[in-house]
Amino acid sequence: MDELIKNLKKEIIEALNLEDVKAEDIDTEAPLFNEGLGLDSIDALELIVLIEKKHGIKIQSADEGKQILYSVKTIAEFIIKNKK
Amino acid sequence: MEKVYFVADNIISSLGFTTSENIDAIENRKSGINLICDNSLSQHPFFASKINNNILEKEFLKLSDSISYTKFEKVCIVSISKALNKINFAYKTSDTLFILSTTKGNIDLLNPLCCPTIPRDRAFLWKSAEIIKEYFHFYNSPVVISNACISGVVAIVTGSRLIEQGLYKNVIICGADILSEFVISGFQSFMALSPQICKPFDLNRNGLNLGEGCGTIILSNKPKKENNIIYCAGAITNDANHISGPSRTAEGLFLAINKAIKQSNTSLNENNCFISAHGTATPYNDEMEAIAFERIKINNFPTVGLKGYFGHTLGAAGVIESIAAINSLKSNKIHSTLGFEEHGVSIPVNIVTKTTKKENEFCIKVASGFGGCNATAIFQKI
Amino acid sequence: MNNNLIISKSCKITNNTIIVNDKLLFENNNVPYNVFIKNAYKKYINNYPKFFKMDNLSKLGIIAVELLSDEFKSIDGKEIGVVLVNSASSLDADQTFQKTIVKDNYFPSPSVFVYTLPNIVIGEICIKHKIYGESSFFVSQNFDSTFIYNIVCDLFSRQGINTAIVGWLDFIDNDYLASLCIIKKISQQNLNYNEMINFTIENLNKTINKDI
Repeated sequence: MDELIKNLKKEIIEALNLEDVKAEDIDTEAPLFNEGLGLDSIDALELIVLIEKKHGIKIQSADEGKQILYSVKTIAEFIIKNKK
Repeated sequence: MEKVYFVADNIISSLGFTTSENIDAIENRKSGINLICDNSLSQHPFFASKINNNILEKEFLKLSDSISYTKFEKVCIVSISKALNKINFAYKTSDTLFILSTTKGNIDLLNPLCCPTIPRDRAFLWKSAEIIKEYFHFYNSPVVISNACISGVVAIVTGSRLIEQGLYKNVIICGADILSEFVISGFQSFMALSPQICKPFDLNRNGLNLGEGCGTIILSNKPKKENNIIYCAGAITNDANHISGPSRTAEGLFLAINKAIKQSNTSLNENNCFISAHGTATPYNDEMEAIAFERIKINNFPTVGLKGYFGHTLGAAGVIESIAAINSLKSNKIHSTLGFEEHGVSIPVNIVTKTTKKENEFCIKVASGFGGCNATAIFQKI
Repeated sequence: MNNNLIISKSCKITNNTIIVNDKLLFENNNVPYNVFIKNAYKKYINNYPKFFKMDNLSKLGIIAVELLSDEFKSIDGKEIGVVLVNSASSLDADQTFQKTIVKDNYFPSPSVFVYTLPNIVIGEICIKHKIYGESSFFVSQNFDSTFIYNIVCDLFSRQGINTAIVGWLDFIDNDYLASLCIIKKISQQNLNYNEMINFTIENLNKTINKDI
């Protein structure tokens, strides 16, 4: 789980062009949207692509995505639960 | 200041190749949106409106037997030809301007497997516009407007302002966009497409349908004998809020409609004016429009959304929908908002639900697009 | 032409150089565009992380407009217009997006797709500087000074604009040129501008098309 979370943070930084943000700076349990990193709707959609591309899991709707993308932790839990 | 008259037009869409074919379909509440199964456009079937390629080829062959035009260019050439057949003034002179409104033009050329005989530089919008200009022997360099989904309304506003200033006598506006894997993929990545025929302003709306279409409008400083519609006023604004989501307070659209109404110097009310909405049927767009209408206190004006017939035709939308609005003013009929069943925005709005005999003097046409842009044009029957 | 309009400032960005009012302000030779433009960002903005999500064209536009922003900082955003022209539309971002939809590696990127329209750079400029006024993006082979002059004059005389950001902004195949200027309405009494450049077709042409 720790390894996954560490890599996930790096993937997020790269996919979302978060310049000057280091993996260590991202709080695993903090909300990604509205506070924390302050990501927006396009970032959410890009994270959905990231999860499909790097982890092979397809999120079907933006609503489904909302719950999963709450924090790095919830994303990691989702990936572990759904990975084939 | 010169008056600007709408003297001829044409619509090409899945509903037909003439304005009257399209208007007939709208009056009969017939949608041009269907389930499209085409691997060259999308891996999965999707709802969209598509122009009949066979008929397009037949229509184009009446004009030229050259194989060196793309589908996008053929659609524009056929549409402009049909509109030009309805006027009798010289248009190859310096006092006529050609404006092309498109978001992506020949974007399918970015795929090397597509149209191998067409030079890749036709992906440049100005190059494609030049090809169309050369076909008709227009005098002036074409103007290309590419402002996302408001391009069509911007073209009408821009063309009208140029005639008002006396810089041109006539302006030929052609708005067009074709379906492409490029655009479909993009909207799919936005999760913006509805898995059914779209439902503008409806409670259960869940996204837009894309559409293929072309609209041509010819503007002139000289009126027709009768049944004249003029450009009354217009405005273009920006939300200054977000590049893909509309302002939650509808700031840009509010400013645009407000400005246009002030500029029109007319008294508009629910008995003499209707609204031709943008109505893409995404949760956010339609809500934003309703908020704008309420802020200006025009939300009780009869409101028509046509994307249930055409889908969202992007660069063509503003032109096609304006042609329908102008037709409404001329024929004293308001069209219905296909797909709307149950009120679904937070503001009361007056959505027209069946083709209705109604005399109106004015129409407010609105559009909003990516980049936070908004545009309004007001048309008047005189 | 006595229309009380002047060209108050100009900015040109090309070949890894930034020139404002004909003075070289910044250069960063022998580095790729993305390094050059990042260094320009660090020097002139440095507090706008959204910059790094932008495509090449938008980054170019944001930097160029930043260098002109003193001219309109105190103006009501509703009265500022933006008129931009280029030849490549958004083809640079289009090519990037096309790479995300190849058959064997089909993962269309929404953050790239959002930039596949040329007017998005206008959106970015308007968001950063709270500009609500008239804006349009035209695509043509060259900058047509006569046409743009007429469009801009109308914005000032009849569309309620009193300051405009105008010019050429193009990016294709790592070749780029931003050539923008600020047009302002001045009152008769305003004598602060020592070298006033009247807004005429000829002067607009000289400002935008010089050295191209």
